[in-house]
Amino acid sequence: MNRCTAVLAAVLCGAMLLAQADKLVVVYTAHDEMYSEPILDAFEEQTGIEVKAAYDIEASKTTGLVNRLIAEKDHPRADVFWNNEVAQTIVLQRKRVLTPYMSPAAKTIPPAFKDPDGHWTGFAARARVIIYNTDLVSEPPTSIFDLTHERWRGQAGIALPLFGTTATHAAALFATLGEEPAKAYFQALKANDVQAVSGNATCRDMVAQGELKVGLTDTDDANGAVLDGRPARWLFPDQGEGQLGTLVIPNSVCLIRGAPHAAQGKRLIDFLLSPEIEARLARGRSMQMPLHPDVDVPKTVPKLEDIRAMAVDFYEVSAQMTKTAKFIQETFAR
Amino acid sequence: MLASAVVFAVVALAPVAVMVAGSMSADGGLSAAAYGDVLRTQRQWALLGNSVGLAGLTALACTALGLALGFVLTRIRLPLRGLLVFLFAIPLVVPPYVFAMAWIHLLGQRGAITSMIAQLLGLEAAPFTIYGLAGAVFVLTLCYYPLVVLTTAVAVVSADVTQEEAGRLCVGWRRALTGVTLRQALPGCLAGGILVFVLALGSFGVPSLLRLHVYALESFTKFNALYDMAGATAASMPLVALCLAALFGFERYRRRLSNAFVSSHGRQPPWLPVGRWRWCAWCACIVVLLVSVVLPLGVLAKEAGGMGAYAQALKTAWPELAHTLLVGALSATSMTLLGLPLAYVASRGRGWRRSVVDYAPLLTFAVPGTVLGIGLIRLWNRGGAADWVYGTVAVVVFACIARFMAVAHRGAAIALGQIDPSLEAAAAVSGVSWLRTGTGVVLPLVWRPLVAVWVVVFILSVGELSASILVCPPGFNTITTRMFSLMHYGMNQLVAALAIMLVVCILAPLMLLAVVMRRYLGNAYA
Repeated sequence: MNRCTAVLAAVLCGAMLLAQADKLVVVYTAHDEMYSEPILDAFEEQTGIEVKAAYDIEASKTTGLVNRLIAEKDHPRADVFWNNEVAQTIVLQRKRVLTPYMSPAAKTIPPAFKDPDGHWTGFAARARVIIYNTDLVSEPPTSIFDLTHERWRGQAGIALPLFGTTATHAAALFATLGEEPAKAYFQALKANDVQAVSGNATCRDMVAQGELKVGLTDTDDANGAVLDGRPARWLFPDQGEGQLGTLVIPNSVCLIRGAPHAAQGKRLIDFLLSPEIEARLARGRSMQMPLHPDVDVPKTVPKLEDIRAMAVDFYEVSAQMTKTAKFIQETFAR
Repeated sequence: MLASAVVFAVVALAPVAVMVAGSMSADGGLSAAAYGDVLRTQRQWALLGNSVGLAGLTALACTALGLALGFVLTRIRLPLRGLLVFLFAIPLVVPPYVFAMAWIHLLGQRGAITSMIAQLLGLEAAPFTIYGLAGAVFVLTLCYYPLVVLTTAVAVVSADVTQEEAGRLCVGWRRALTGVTLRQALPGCLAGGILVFVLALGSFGVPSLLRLHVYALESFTKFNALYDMAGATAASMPLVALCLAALFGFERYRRRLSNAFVSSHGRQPPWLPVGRWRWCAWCACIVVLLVSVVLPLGVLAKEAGGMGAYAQALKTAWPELAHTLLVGALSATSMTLLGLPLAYVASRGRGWRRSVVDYAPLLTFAVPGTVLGIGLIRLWNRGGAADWVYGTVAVVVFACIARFMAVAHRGAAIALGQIDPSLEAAAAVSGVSWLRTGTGVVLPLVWRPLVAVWVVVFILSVGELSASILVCPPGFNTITTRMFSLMHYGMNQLVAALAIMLVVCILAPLMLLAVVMRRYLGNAYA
């Protein structure tokens, strides 16, 4: 009888553990905790699947989680990676950390924003913008190349282009303009005494406080300053006919190779890629622009079709990142 | 003691060894390719120069300030002395990055103070700002000087009072103080200075914010921009070598000084007969507190605004707060329990064992947190029994132990180094076992400094980010992660509220420190 009881108890425990495993998904997210957490909570409520999340911080520029995923490759812990940009997701793809998954929710997302084999899918985009202090600037620059002009000597800021979306932007310029013109641009910025600060949020704060007059940052950072009533406004640079356009950077979501809870991971990916979630991210402080067509968003949220976007191949951008980083290191980190 | 050494080796040294081994291998064989880029260009040497300059000046400033304050707090009868001791520990609680942001509000190009100065002088802009080397030294000094105050205070009250009294019989109290007590306290003070040197040398966030490029950026770039783990480890080695060289130099100097011994009479050092000059000393303490605590916390409190921000901060972040305090308590307790036996070997041992135990904690202290974090993942992410560590709070505690064991070890070593070895010899001669000697002789003489050590490493563990962000189990996040995340979105109000809440939550161990230090410092001739 005792032996039977022990066997029964073991079977029950095993069953409970399996049942628990069915009700769990682990997500690593570089999207800011303040805004990703409510969305993950909504997924929990809707599906009954518990979400355990690991977050990244601005200080590590997303690459904390990317490096963690690479280091955990042989024994993956995460099921899903929700990145707030795409170049580093492609790094993971190259290092065979990801596995393909074609979500049915991604059917209407434009092909330019997803991997053709399904290794990653883009959604809810940000864009690079020029932010300026309205107390100090009446005629803001309208092109990123204006920041090399004498008028902005020592008064313009960018995040150090070694990390985050600024690094992606730098690599995009290398991919789009070519190596020599891109190098000339960054050398001109350096010669014009541009202030390379520690991050996009810092750049925004410096401009809003009046420490700098203008800066390059992302839409979500710039929007935060406007919502807080600070003396700052922003614009999309290079929007004129024949101009370069601005870099549009989508979030990206992907399934981890060997994910412990792959089925639950796929459900989470489907949820994140839904138009409802894009609408929610658009309405939030981060003002992310939907990639699904016809998503209902507030009038203050720009539409992708209204922006002249830089024509980039994200794979080419990702391929340029190492070379760009080495050049930027030599130019700015001294 | 062997058990402590083994535990430390497994918890802290092994991840570093994994990374160093990885940096010296490629394609299955030995390779020094990762080291080929280290210090090859003028730019890298310039960055190293910035790092050494920043660390050296910060350590000097902290040592000078800490030495003066340590003596003032322990030997001059000041009003509200207990409260002063408590307040001086607060800068350790607030993350240096948050401190730096507060100072930019005050001394940035359009800071409150710089704007006022510019207006007074009729200038368009103030003649100075917080940016650059001087500003970075200023901010880091204000963040780290409490470490030196603490180590100096412990060393001063541990000094043998009878030697100073004997000195006073021959010369005045001033010469006795400087010639006898200062000599005895100097090793403790300099030990604090060395810790500050190492902390400042590896600092990256604050210099970056204040527009000073430092060598730590090289390792950070290899890790974050180039995904080159071997290169990141190799790039950190010059800083590790500098830290070990600094410690080596300190050890050579310390052995030339005479050791002071805790008096077995249990007498507290007497107050210095400074007369009305004690009010000058008190005012000096208040000025330092105004600059290092009141001004930056005032900026944070102003940013936080009303009670609404605190309520929202608590509502959204209480689980992270609980996690942070748990990690801090577990880490501090582990480090204190491990640090004492290691410090005993370092202070009583001989030969290579002593050197290894003395330098090993500093090696893990000097290695960047990101390198350590990846090392922990590579070592413990194996499935099976290793899941008892990886994926639990244990791996976060391991990260903190590796990062800050040097502080616990140094603190315990200072306390042990001032115990007269003849006390233990007498116990041994009487046939008392080493365990009984430890618990009956050594521990009663060092438990108060150990409480101070516990509180300091608790505070440091609470603020740890660079390694723990890589290994924190999903769902187990800390308050520092939340704060940095909020800073990204410019939620300065919430960040400020969280920083103030963190100070309040650490009040309990700080008050414990103040009570212990006050009883340890004593009320002479009450």
